[in-house]
Amino acid sequence: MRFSRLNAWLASSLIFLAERAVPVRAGEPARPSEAEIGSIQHYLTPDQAIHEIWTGVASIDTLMARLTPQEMASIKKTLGQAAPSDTVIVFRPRDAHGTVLGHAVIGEEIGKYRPITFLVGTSPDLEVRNVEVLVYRESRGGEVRFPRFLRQYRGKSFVSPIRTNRDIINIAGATLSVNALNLGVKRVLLSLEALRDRKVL
Amino acid sequence: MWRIVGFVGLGLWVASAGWAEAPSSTSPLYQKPFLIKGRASLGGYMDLEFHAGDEGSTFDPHRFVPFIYAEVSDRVHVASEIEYEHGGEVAGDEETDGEISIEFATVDVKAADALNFRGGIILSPLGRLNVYHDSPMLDLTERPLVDRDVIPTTLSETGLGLYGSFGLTEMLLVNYEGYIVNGFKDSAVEDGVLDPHEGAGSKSEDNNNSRAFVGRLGLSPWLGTEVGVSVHTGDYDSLGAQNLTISALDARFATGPFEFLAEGALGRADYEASPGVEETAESAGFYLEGHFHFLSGAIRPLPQSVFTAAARLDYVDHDQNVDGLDQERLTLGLNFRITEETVFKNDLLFDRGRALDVSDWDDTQTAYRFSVATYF
Repeated sequence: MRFSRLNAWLASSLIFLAERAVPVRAGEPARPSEAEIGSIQHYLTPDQAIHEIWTGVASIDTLMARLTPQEMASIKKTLGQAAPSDTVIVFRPRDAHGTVLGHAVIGEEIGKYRPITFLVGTSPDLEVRNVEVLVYRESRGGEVRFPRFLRQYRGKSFVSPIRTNRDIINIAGATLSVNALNLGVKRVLLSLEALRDRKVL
Repeated sequence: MWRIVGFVGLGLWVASAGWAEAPSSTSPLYQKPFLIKGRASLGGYMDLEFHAGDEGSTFDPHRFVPFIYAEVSDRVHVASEIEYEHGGEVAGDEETDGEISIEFATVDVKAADALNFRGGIILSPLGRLNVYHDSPMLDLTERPLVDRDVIPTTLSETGLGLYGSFGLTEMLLVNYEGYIVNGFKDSAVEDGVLDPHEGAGSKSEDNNNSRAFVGRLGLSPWLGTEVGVSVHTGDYDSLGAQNLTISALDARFATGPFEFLAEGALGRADYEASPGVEETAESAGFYLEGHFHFLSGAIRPLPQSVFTAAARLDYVDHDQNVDGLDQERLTLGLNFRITEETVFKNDLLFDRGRALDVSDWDDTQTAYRFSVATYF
């Protein structure tokens, strides 16, 4: 397996979740660590983001899957850009009865200067339930992590354009950050759809 | 005129031809616009312009602007842009009209979304375009007249201040920037006419002991809509006795494939017309601009591509105290973006003006601009 920086980050997130997310009682707020409180850059942990998106989460399991070369090629054709990795780590929150509430995938795309790390949460039917920005590292363009912008992604699926000036309203002065999120959300949805097509999900 | 039509056709052909095959490299350098090494990022933008009109035609490597951005710590960021204009300065006997300068270099210290410190060479938040001026971001090659003659874009000044944004409700967002800066210098007024471009102050030394203030307050009631008011005020002469104030109002509205921009500015400067006689130089201008984005992803090998039709109406009055000395411009543009980061622009410009104390407009001059601009 080729571990890029993104994969390393995802792996650390996976360890983070494994250490503290199972089991999590419904309604119990996750406590940020002192390091997180001290840093205004890390807005949400993956665990917190999942609890923001779904209520009644009792546990979270994870699935690590690899996209086939054909699936990678198809995604590249749709997006016009190759994916940085063929590995997809899917978090699956479950309620107290063990029912899967949806799927969550962490993505990372470069804005103007630095990577934006975000989490896409979908329904079991792979429609976006919400997007949460976990880490935003730039001085300008931070409006992309505000709810009034992120709510635009709700209900999007892999067939949605997710394009600026089509179904996503741009933020002036944060065009590259908006494009990065558009690309990242679409990439996550296409990856999940490929896995569902292959009956991995 | 037919020569200009030919240029338009050539520009459109250049913009749309030859994209059947995507670059074969899958290197991350070609997927990501910027290089990141450790805590620093290196990137930038550049453009190439072609001008044609009654005065002749020429290529112009207008801007090459590398930027360096560093995340010193979670709360401390350094951002800078170094601007090479018109090829920069060339060593040797031949004089050039190039320029190399630091467009901005700031250290930002983040306290909270609503309160941050910024110091260094600052992009003055006077109007919207002065801050958001990257050529790959703009849909027309030439900047608006009001942002050349009333607001001297790109205006960057040395100073420090605060900026931030906060939501009053989930939808209503307020953002602000306010800085104390060195301000303009004596040459901002020449022969009773305001010329802030000539009067942009030194970055290393204030010409008087009086600082200026520049700030902008933006209000966005919902996503895609924003209204901003900004002001630059302070003494500009060496004695610190004469005030220069430029105030601006800007607005943006976006919905679906449509986007509308507007900006107006008014400049006023006191000056001593003759010993003991105080007068005021005034200039004003505005622009209205509309964009329509279409055929998004219609070219199959380029799924991120989009075409944009743009139109802008410009007006500027260089001296409000006399008849004449004003200029109008209509610009029609057709752009092709391969991705949002790279744009080919084709613009037709229709200019007319009035000389001092003349009430009739001159004949309309037609010109053409082609440019390619990209982030890297």
